Amino acid sequence: MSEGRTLVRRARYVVAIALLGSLVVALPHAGVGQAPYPKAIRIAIVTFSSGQGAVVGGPTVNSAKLTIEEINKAGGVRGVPLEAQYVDEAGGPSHNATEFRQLASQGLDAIVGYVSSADCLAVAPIADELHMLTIFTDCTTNSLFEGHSHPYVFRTIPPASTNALAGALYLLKTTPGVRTVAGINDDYAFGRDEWKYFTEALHTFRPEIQPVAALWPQLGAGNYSSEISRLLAVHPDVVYTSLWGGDLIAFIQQALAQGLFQRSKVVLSLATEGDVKGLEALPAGVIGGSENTFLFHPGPIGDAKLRQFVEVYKNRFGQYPVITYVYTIKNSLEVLVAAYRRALAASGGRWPTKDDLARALVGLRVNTLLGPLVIRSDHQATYHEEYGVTVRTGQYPFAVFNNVIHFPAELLMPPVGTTAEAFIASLKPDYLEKIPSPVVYPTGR
Amino acid sequence: MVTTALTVLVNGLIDGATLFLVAAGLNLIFGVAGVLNVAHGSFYAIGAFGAATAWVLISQAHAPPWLIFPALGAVAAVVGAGMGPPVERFLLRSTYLGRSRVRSESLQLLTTYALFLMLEDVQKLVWGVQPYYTGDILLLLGRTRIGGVPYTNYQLLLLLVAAGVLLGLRVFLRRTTMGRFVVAVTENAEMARALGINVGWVWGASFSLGTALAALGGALSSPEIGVSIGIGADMVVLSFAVAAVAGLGQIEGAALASLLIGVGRAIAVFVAPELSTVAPYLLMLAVLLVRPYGLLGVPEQRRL
Repeated sequence: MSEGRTLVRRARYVVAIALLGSLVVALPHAGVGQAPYPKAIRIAIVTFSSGQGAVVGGPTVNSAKLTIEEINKAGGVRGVPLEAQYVDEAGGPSHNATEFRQLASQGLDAIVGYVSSADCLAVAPIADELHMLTIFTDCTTNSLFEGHSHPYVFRTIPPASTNALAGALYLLKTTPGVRTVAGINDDYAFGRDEWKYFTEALHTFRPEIQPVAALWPQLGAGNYSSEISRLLAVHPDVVYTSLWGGDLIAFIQQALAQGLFQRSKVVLSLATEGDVKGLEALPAGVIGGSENTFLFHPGPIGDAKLRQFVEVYKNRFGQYPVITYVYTIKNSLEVLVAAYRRALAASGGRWPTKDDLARALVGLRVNTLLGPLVIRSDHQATYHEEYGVTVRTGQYPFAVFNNVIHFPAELLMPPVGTTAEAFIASLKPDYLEKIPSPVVYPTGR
Repeated sequence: MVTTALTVLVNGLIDGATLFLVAAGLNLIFGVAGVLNVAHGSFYAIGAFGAATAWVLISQAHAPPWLIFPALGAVAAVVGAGMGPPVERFLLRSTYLGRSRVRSESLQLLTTYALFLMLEDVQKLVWGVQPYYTGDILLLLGRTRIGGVPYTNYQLLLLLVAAGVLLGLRVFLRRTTMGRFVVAVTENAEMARALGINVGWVWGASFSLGTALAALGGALSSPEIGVSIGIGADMVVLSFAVAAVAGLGQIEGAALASLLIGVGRAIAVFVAPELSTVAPYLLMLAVLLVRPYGLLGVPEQRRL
């Protein structure tokens, strides 16, 4: 009797093993032909939604939502929609490093965003370590890519040196009588970069211009009364500042109150990175940069697509899209989607891996709303820059810019492998002739 | 040279004025109740938020802008009188007179830190996470030139208020009966109680006053900063540095220390801008190395 049971047991074992074995052999071949596309492209968008940087987050999230809707309405990437979760960048570099690891562990397809250079510098090595595809929307410090290569990290905006160089060039082109300059910049990588390249550019073409004071408040300080008093005491011809976000708004308000704008010519290299509130307070005659995006000017907007976008954004969110961050996040998302499309075309329809995407991003050219954007082999972007001078017209409740110089992308970028410092020092006087003349828009007055 | 020195001095005074208001409150509370209130910076922040809200309301109602000035005082009074007594009575009082000093002090630290964290979240709940910019208040009173540098009259008003508070506190503590009670309780609470002073009342009132001072500091400085989450934390650290330099419990010391640190920072901005953020703490280090109990501090006497 027991022999019979043992036999049956053995038979059961054999059948079970055979079944399992056949499954093990068969399963890898189940997907042969084409792996199914994922249900969605899952990304995280990291931006400031609280604290002093929160003025950034609002427009970023608005624009991201609008852009993702557009992308998905047009069918996404071969039918696969884009899905984003929004993460707060506030909390400092070490907080962001932890947060990044946590996001990467969720198996996301990409992490997009980041504004503060300090956060990007903290996060980039982790992206390398975890092979996490990361697209920085801002964080323009040159030190990110100079001397370092990050295989999975890309940035869809040119480095700070282009913004600072353009500022210096604008000044040289439009305000020839400058003798002394002073700077007030945040004391971290980005602020240091901006002042360095600005003064270097001035020195290359006009070595007699003297920097007479360089002030370094902490990022997020908010109270600039001591620094403004010093600037008033020193009385330079030009004050250059790369303050941004909430700091810029506070600075503008305090500078207005103490009369700095009347005493010196002020250059706000990131004029459109405060808030509409900051632009509403600005008097006429202030030089401002757009950080490689767009300056609102008197009169109607020439480009039809841009004009339409402005209307759509205004109607949807009740605010004009004056802030840089509206355009930078849009560019990042469009670049990501273009990379997917390019990788799919290259692989004959096979869904791309992170390495495929990284490869597709190099050399990618996207026609964005504001112009062509190219990602170079060093993972940096080539894009235009705009500087102008504020005027108050009745057309908008905020200051707009006239005498706008639209700097073509290639003019400002250091060649691949060259540091911005070396590039700027190597510029010859005939370089100034390549700069386009300021465009004067009729103000109808 | 003279004009630079003048500019540095004026800047230092203005910087120091807000610091003094906050540090005086902190020192008052420590002196009377022996509590080092980590959450003191939160009251500063709530004062600032209250002032920002007042300005928003005034602007929306198209009311005359000068109303903001009494509103600032009102905000401070409301915070002091409204939040002071309940916090003191129900949260802190149980941590004052512990059996063992060690248990008492760490309990105080934990309790006030917990309060700080809670108040941070209260700020987020009530006012949200977006910053408030009320710098247009600075334009209301016009400008004055001192040593060739224009200052807003608002900044000078701040100075006047701080000076007034200093004077007021001196008069209060030395000339009024209530003030004498406060001094008595500071010296020896048990003895004061034995002599018939309502010590509980004194604690409550002092805590309210100290809190109101912090809130006043916040309200007055709100146009000069972006009022948002995190300003409480920054102020806590700085006010502790000032209190350490002053000597814990010394109110007049707080004035001296605030002035010193304000001027120190102003000098740094002129001479070594890279050190302007660190300057207050370098000063604190320097003072404590020479006088470990602060400028006017006295070593605590052991009581058996």
